Amino acid sequence: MKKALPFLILAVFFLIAPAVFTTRTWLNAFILVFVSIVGSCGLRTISLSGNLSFAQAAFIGLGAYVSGVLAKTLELSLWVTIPIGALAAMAVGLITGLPFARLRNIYYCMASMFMGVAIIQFISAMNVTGGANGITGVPSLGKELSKIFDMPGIGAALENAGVTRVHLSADLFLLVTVVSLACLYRFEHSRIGWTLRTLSQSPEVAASIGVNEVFYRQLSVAFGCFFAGLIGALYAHYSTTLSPNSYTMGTALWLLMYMMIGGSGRFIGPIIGALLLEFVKQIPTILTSMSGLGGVSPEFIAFSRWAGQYSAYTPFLTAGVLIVVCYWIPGGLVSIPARIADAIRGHSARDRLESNA
Amino acid sequence: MILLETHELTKRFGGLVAMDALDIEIEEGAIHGLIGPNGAGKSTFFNLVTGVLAPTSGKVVYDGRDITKSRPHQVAAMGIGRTFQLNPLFGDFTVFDNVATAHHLNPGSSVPSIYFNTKKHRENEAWVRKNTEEILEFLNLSRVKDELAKNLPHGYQKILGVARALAIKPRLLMLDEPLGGMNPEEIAFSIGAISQLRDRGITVLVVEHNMQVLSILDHVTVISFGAKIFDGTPEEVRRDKTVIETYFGGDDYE
Repeated sequence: MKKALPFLILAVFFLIAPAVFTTRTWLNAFILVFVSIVGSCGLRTISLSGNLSFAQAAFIGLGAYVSGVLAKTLELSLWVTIPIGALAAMAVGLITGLPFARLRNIYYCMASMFMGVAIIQFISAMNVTGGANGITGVPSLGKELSKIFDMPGIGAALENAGVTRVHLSADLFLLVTVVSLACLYRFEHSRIGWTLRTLSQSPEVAASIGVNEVFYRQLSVAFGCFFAGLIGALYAHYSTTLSPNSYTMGTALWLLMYMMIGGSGRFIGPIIGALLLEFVKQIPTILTSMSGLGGVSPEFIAFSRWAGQYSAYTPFLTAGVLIVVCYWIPGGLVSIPARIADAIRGHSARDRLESNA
Repeated sequence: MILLETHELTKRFGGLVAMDALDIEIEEGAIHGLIGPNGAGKSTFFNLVTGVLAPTSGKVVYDGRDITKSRPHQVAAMGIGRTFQLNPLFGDFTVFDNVATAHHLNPGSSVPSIYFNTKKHRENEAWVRKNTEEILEFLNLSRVKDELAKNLPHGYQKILGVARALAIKPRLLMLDEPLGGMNPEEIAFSIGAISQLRDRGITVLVVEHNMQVLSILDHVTVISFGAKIFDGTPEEVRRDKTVIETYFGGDDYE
């Protein structure tokens, strides 16, 4: 029960939040948070075996492009192309992962970094993807969902329940996020997760007890990439545009940062990290749109302009936070409650570290 | 019956011959000692047999099968357990979890059955917990089972390495310097435990410097510079001139 509490609080927050923050900007922000959460939790699943991947953003992009391009050019239903996008991300993850599965630590980081860059370069070089400019007019998720409102009976019932067409997209994202996280949680907390953690501690010992290193690393890549591709595909149909710039190394670094700052040791770490930092990134946009609505004081408008300028400095801010976390709270933000509890009981974190050494 | 044999097993690292056409036969059910001075090629032998290193030439035959090209996890799946000289552990796991996780091969739930936590997998897990308790009890580790492995004293860590290797239900257990760095009390306990392993039907190969281990050996092979210089019983090895010269140098030792 105590373990489930943070997850319950988060779930309740996400259920209530879209109803309170009804503007389009807020919904956009929420949906970006969902994408970041699933992306960085998938990244953490891959990193359970001790390998940090820098290609996660590329797999989100791969899911987005495969689903978006298929739905637009072949006019397939997006309910068919979204799963295809997820499976394509998984397949590419497995194929490119095969030569890399025996690489460890820094060598894997480097290989995955080049792979991420290569995938996006490949996408930018093709015609069907619109090259470096990307494409617009991807079949819209919102439109597809609105059809539910047109069904006799259901539409009226939904409107009476206070559900709007805009909300429906956010609700679908929430549902997909919860299901994805449940699948990843189960993966980590089963015997499979334990086996992966043996690989991160000593691949030699793991082999001596019969762990097939390549198979287990590939299994974690399959899970991490599938859900990254899934949420990416969903996002392509939400935003209806595709641009290779959204899935570069920079995005991959952000995903890594959510995980490190939130705390890579626990499942909820990247969720907290993505939630906080993604909102920090969205603050200028949100403020600007609020001042655009009218009825606010000139000071507020001036403040939002100032905040808009500061958005260029967000990476510096986040890097600062990362340094603080690395030096003073190596367990990430999620380890703070345990640290406070320790401080109250009279042991400093340093004592505990020393007694462990 | 011969459980493990090597035929002209050779390993060269560049110009250095680490293992020179070695022939060894290990009788099933015996405690076989492999001794030799530092740099004799004992650890190389371990790594060649368990598939960590590939030999330059020669072959390794286990239970009638050629396992020369097998990878380490496949060798483990065939029933060859091993420990390591420098004794790496799953340091962030408790002692109990170290041994429980080492039941990776036995009873061997399939990945889907683990993921969906089927009835069969839950039964397997219950069996794993029971078997882990038994192994810890046998090796006297029960009272430290909730400690993190990295916090254990050195001697306990060595014994934990043996416990982990036992979890794969080995037919052949290869121990790389199991007594290294232990105090006399721990040495006495470990020697007792190793001889009990033989009574449980496990074939044991021990690499060791400590001559106290001679008392429980059934058969000894002595190697020096990657070549076999003696093969016989512990009584014979004490009288063998070549061995004495290799270990103590000079020919006027008496």
